[in-house]
Amino acid sequence: MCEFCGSILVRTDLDLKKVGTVADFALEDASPIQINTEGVHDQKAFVVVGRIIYEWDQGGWNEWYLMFNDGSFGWLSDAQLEWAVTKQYAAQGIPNSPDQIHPGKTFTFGSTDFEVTVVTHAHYKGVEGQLPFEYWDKQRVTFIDLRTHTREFATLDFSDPQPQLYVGRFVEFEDLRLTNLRQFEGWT
Amino acid sequence: MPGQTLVKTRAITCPNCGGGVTLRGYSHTLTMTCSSCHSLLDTSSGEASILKKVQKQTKIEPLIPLGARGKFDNVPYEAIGFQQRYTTSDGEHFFWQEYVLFHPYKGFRYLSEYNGHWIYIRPTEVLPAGQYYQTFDGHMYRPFQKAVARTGYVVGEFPWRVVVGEAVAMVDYVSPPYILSSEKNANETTWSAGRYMTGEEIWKTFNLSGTAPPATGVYCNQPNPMEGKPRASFRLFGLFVLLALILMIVFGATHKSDPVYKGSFSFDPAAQTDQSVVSPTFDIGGSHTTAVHVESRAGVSQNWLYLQIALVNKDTNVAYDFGETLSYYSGVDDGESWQEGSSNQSTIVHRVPPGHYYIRIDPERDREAGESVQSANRVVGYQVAVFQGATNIGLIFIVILLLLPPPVIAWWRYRNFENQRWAESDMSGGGE
Amino acid sequence: MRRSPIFAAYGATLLMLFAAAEYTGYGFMGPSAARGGPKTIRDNPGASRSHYGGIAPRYVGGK
Repeated sequence: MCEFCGSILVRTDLDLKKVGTVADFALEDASPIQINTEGVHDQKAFVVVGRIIYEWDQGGWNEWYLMFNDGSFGWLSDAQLEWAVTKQYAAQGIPNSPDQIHPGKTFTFGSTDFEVTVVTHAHYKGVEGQLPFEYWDKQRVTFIDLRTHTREFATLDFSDPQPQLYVGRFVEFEDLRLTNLRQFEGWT
Repeated sequence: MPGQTLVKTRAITCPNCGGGVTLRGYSHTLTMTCSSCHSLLDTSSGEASILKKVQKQTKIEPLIPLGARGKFDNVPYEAIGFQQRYTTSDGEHFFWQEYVLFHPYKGFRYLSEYNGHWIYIRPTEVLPAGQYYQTFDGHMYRPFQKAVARTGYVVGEFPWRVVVGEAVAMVDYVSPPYILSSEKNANETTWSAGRYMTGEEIWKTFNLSGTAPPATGVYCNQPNPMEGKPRASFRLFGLFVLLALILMIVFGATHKSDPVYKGSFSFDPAAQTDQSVVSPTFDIGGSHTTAVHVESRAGVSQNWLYLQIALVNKDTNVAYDFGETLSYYSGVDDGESWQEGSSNQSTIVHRVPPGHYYIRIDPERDREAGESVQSANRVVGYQVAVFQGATNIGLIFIVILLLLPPPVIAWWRYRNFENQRWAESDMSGGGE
Repeated sequence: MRRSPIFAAYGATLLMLFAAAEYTGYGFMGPSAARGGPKTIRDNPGASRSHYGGIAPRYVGGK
């Protein structure tokens, strides 16, 4: 039982053992974000409460689970230090299978047109902290990234039978006003 | 629960030579070369594995040493990787160099160097729009070049899986000093945006010793040193022409409209007496020389009259000699009426000093072939007037002509630079 | 003007020369000054008629 919001969040650090060794995990970690890192997005403060590490053929990336001060949740994506904040939205008009979707295909979410840029077949490498309960025990996941002519960004998550839609935008690192970051030797 | 951790640089042991290698890019580095034996290693997992043992290539020393740091947009970045790439055209290889720059919070940037020209590159997050031309970040980019780029020599660390010899389809679009590039491989098309930098700027940014290699030729997104100059020059030209016209009008307004002398005479060709006349003395006033124009008009109809005129300074005896022909003929030819000649003429005498003057007029008229004596002997009346002040239209044209070279030269130099730029392009129909 | 100071100076000089030319009635085509005939020209205009002006053949004194 989560003491912050009272929802049933069952993931804990124990799951690290399930997907990778703790020792390796610490060495692999190049992300400046950590659990309890705080920041601001769209004038709302957030705290980092959870994390999923994904790995695919060409590398890996982090999805940090954010809890905003208004009780909502979102995700901070860290892919080679390219930053994007997204929130989950109802997925309408999305085919159930990613097989029909190729780069170049367009979708409209809200009033913006998005174009598919890459289809990624990834798997979990590790989890940490508190996560929405759907995120436990997923091995193979397919993500489809979409971009726009502005800084908006969207991801289609095909890990579940029901595709999930996350929409947000790319942000500059300094715009997040992050505190409680990890420091890097030689870079302070 | 991780606290205020200080992440230490990762060190690995080279599986080929056993040498220790420090990773500047932490776990972002997926591929790297061993600094001792130059083997290409895969470092994407916890253990390093050999991709390619001891690359058999001539060692290339990067101009920016790996480990050097420089500030871009006020953020320090460290050069962690270097590669030489090439394209092949008509059997000839064209090489250029690229650097991987890294900051643990801000991420990755890249530098590209070719023939002494540098580009600072950042991967884009926004998709450019357009079919042929691309619109991005408020600029319009024009296609410059399409090429297949291959990876040649590598040294250092890379945040992607390096495959030596791997080919990607590259398209470059330019909006000097900016460049937009797309790279397409099997998985996706990635876009990156770049900005031109000079060798001097790079040397200053990384605080390198010595001087940067000089840039040769004109590079695709190199800013034109004459940018904006032709327009500014022509605007200045326009301003000067306008000022000259205003000066002309202002001076013209100062000319008195009343003549300083006016006289009427008549010429009798048949008379036995000398028909030349001399005017009374009149004043050409002022404190400086002026232009004077002498106008004559005659009541000629199907007739002509020649006036030999001299403007003479009574005191200095300086004389200005000139002639004015007055004529007027008209008729009807095949139903079309025509007219020829001018019954009034004007001559400008330049730089006439002020003083007392008179004019002397010698009228003449010869008998035409086939003309009757009666017709040739018609009495003709004529008037001559002297005005002080005359506008010299010719001078304005001279001024305009002399003002033209600077803007024309500026335009030519701008065009010349652009022609050199686009001569390197494989996608233009010519310079623009 | 800031971008082409040499042109600005050149043009300004040209305009000043132009103004001076207009002021002093300068020109490059037109009758030139010639030392005229004797002081008595006024009294005897026919005698001092220029031999080089006019249309030939013409009346040059006499019948």
